[in-house]
Amino acid sequence: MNALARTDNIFIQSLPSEVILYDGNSHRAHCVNETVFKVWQNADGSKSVDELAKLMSRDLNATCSREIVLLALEDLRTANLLQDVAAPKNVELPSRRDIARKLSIGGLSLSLLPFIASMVVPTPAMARSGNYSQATYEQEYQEVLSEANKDLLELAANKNGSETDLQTAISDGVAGIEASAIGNQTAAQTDFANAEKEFNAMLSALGLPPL
Amino acid sequence: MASQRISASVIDAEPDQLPGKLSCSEAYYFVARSCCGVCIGLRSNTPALLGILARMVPGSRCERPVEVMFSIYESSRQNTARRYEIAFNAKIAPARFRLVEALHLLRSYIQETVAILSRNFVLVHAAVVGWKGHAVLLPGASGSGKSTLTMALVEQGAAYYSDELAVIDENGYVHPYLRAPNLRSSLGQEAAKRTTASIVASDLCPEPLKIGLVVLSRYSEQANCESRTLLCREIFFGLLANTLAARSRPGLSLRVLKEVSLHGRGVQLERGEARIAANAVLRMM
Repeated sequence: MNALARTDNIFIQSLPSEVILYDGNSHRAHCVNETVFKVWQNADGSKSVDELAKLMSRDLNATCSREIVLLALEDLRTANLLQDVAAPKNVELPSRRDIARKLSIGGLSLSLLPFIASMVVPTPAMARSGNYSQATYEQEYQEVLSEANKDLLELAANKNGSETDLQTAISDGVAGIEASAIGNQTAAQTDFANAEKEFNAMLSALGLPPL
Repeated sequence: MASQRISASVIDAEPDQLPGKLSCSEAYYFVARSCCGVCIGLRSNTPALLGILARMVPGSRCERPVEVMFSIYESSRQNTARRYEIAFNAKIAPARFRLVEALHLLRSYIQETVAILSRNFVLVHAAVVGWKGHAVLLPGASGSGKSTLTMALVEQGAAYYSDELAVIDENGYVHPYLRAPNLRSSLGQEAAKRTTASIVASDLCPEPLKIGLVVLSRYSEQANCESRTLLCREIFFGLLANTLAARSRPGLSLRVLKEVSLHGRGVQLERGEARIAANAVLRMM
């Protein structure tokens, strides 16, 4: 069943790069980023996850994967901003850390990562006493951003090593082709095996799975 | 002494101008005040009590019909201790209180009612001072040290606007909520009297100011006044957590808080001693 946003008794207020959604039913205020807001806005019950991802990519002018949409929908579901729709079955929800890592590696902006911070809006007595609890995802979001930034730094450090591995892999590959051309199959096999090993080392340094 | 029957609509004078002592069961004193655009009626059976009540509500005399009535009556003596009844419109609270409790409850009810009924203002639980043509907001719950920090700022030359409520209009300007500061006894009676006198002697009706700085502060004895700049959403949430009528007036509250968050700077301050913190805050402006 396609996701359908809750819009009854929801007040919207835009900030420079986020949107505040105040739910008058549960008296919770949610601060969402553009990714989550666009998913919420476009979830009209007629679009599948893939269609939402296509729309988002067009609206945000950036590649928005199905995983990002699934994570955003899960955040909206937790915040009770979707109509009564159960989470899709047999769908493994992506982790925020994995998506952040893929965005870093792909050179895409981390601001695409779905973000939502929520708080209970106080009654007058609560506002005076300050005696109530605030639920927020902010801390987790900051931790994930920090992890993603560490990945970027690691990638940059590994870059030189990766370039060397790539050059070596290409040289071994070329050597293997030359050996094969003159009929030296044993040497060719050794060269191709070395090339594969170096290429996989490069992929591993970039956090990608081997060939 | 002969008793005098006085109806609510007739009396509209400052309590110390009224003659004689009236019978408690039949007559009362009354004054109407306009606070944040809401016309509030205050009523009591003694002029002294009415005077105390009137001083809790900043504002001018109101000529319009009263929208809501708050009353306090000296009702009885229990074992030589005086007891008081309070009422909101026609409803009398089903208990008798000591004076301090009764006034504390009434103050809370009045603030909540004004926050809910006010059409053009958002009330945020925050202290406010003026500095270099801009307002500094110090949101925080009761007992968080706002009044102490406010007094320290006033002593360093900031203009006193309020130590309890920030009255913010739709354009993001904060208006004064002038009431004698509510200082805890730890500050000392002398300090309280001194600051009250200087506030009363100063400009009694300062101009509305655009909010320049929002300071979310936390007190800790060992703190060194470390500060961190807040993001727009953090300022917004920090103010929303202290907004009195956010649930009953969400549209107005969100609009006004957005205006403040967009145009004001915000800092989180880990503060220790009030004088040092005040210095740090004024330097940020």
